[in-house]
Amino acid sequence: MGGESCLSRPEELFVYECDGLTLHGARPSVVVLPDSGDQVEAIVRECVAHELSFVPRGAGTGLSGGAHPLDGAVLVECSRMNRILEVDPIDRLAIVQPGVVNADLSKAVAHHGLFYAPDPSSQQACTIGGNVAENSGGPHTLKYGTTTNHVLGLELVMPDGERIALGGRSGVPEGFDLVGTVVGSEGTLGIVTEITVRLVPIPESIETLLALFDDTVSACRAVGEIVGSGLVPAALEIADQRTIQAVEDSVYAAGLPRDVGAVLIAELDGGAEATRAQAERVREIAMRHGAREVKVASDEAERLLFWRARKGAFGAMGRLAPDLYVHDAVVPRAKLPEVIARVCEIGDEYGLKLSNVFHAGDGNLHPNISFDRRDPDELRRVIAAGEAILETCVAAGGVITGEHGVGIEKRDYLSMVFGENDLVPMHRLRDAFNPTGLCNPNKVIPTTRFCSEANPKARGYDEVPFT
Amino acid sequence: MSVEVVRPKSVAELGDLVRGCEEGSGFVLRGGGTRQRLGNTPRPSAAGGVLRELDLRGLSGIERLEREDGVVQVAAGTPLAELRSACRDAGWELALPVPSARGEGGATVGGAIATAALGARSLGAGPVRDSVLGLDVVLATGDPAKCGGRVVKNVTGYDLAKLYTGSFGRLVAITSAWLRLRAPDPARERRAAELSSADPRSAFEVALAASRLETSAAAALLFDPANPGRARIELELAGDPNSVGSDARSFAAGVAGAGGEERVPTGDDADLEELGMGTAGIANALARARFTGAPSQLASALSLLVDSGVCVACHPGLSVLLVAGRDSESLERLCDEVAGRHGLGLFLEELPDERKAQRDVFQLSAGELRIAESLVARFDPSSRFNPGRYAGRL
Repeated sequence: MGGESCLSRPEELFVYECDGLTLHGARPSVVVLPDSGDQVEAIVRECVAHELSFVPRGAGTGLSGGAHPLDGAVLVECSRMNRILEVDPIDRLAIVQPGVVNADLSKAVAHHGLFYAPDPSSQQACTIGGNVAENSGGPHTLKYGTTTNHVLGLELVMPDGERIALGGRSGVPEGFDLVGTVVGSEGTLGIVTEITVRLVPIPESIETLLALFDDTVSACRAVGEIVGSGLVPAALEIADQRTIQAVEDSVYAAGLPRDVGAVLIAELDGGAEATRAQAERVREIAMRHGAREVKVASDEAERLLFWRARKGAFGAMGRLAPDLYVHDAVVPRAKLPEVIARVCEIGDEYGLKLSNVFHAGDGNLHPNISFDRRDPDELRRVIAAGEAILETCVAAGGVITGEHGVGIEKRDYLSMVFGENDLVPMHRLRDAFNPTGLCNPNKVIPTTRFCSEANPKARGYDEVPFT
Repeated sequence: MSVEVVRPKSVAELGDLVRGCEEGSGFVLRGGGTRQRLGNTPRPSAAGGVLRELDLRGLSGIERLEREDGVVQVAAGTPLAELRSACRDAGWELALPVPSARGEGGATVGGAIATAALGARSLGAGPVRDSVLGLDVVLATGDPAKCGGRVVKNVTGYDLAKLYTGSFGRLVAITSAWLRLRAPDPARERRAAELSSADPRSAFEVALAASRLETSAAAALLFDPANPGRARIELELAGDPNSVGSDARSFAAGVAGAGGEERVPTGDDADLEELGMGTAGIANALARARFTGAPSQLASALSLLVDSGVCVACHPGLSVLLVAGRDSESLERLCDEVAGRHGLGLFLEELPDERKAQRDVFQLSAGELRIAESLVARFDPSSRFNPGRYAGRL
């Protein structure tokens, strides 16, 4: 490969030093841009022959550093592999290359009355291959599941260069669920070169509600009752006051009152009658938990306006400070009220601008800390607050990441959730696919055997140089 | 030949048993025994080695049932029927299929997970893998380990729960599981229809459409040589009462449009927990096989299967088709031909012992087998758990 398919000049490599995790960076030795599985296979074989580590990358929207090319790795950038190879509306599936943009797939199949359900907030940019690597979710995960529920088969270039097919068109594994094992493995078990995905029918009817609360805890309690009642909305999202104010100050302004404590966006979909009945139940529950008002979108335009408050949140926060640290912990839904209250306390205790916008229906929190990393004291407080947030969530029975992945960002925090024995089979799994360790090394699981040595404070993790 | 049975009463005791196992020997893992014959026949990894039966029903009981969240933590040896009853008492439904009790004690949670059990109701409830949030296991070293968690969304480390689900007990011994529960359906109705089997594809289209109705909880298309010339559709609708009613009318219209007639549903509730739908020709068969494929692939294979006179239970919404017959060798030849011609996955669920000794009941690709070998070599290098049971006689 040469020419435009192989980048090696410093000014070309610079843009690939990090993904959405900008706190750290690492320069690749070279960036290659294959446009086919054959080329990916050839690249991997060449890397193996020369004992070079390699890292796959999609659109670079990942938030945990999974695509950082540590130690001068070869970066395999898959965005040119962007073809939809097959759409089968009868069997409701599509076969795509990894560089297909998530939202583009749904647009491409809409005329068949189908869509691709996983909808991360970055779906206008993120790729299916990246979604597979991270087992991406999104607001509609609550009803439709995450990426792993929508991948039927994969073509994978193994870390030794062999190309194999896993699964197929049925989505029913016979024996080991290797497709389910690879989805969410963050590009450490090989490079995916084709994905067979499940498509689902566009629902007949959608009802979207926007409930205004005086505080976030009340909104969380409403979510707890909605979930506990057995209802399965398509989405249940909460944004707090700080987020709303940021949105209203930005180009994403949706006309929300600035004094509202929190908004709950609830979306129901399905048959028209059932959806209307479920929406009414959600409205009643919200009012019972103190919602000052519950609006129901009267048309698609209003529905999109409700969602602007949510989908524009991260972009809006760019106005608050140069940097944003986005957490991704998940807690049991019943614990949401107490955990969110504690998260807000932590933000205050550390003197930080902390806002919350999250997938309340899944218990998937996104505490967001706006800061300036050029201020070393603020950076230290951000890291410390982040640890405190994760500890709070884990103590409540939760986990440290629901959809952003571990990457490098949370690698050394795995010990909060797993003991040494628990990591042994993870090492074995990785070694079974990647015995040489050349495929995306030093991601997901700590490389030190003893988690106490991996403690980030012990390694000066909180002193990240600004370069 | 009698096999020694060991039945640990705790995870620690299980770990000690595994650690104390002699070189070349191992264990056949067992729950309720309802799916014990699935897979190849286990055999010791070395000549002279001994396999003991490791009965996991001593690890039984519901550890935590979180009503507000709709999740439950349960020991692997717990009978599914007992778990379902407890969940119902708490206002939730278990999403795992609960097969008719055959064998002592009834099917267990661990067995359902280890074999990724499928039933007709898996259409509405989802496959087992979607219910499993986290697992506690004992490794082949005897050490305990956990994976996943109790939350419904989790990408913390590798998804080992997916790897262990459907692993036929070849990698680890499952000791406990966190499971996601479902809300009970406010309305549930059964429907059935009979159509001519002269054109199986036409009957398939009706069944596929039925499986795609919004409230479709189970949809099976059955061909039984005892009822020649006729195809039967058994359907269960579950959900909002208005939606169930609307879908029932849609089904009726589909049946009428294909020249069929509605019938009174047969079988009882328990039949919907199995792919065979309680069909005698499937339950009593000497040989049984399961195809997997996209709906169009299953449809294209249907005519050949129906014409060959085997029992067929097709679940278009699950992408699964079950066949059964009394002549094992002819069924195997038929299945090999159909799988190869139509690109279907094939798993031989039931064969006489002498036939199982002669062939691999799994049909994995070379690539999948290669990865399986690598996994088994690392997870269970001493072949402690179910040696020989998996594909490639791993």
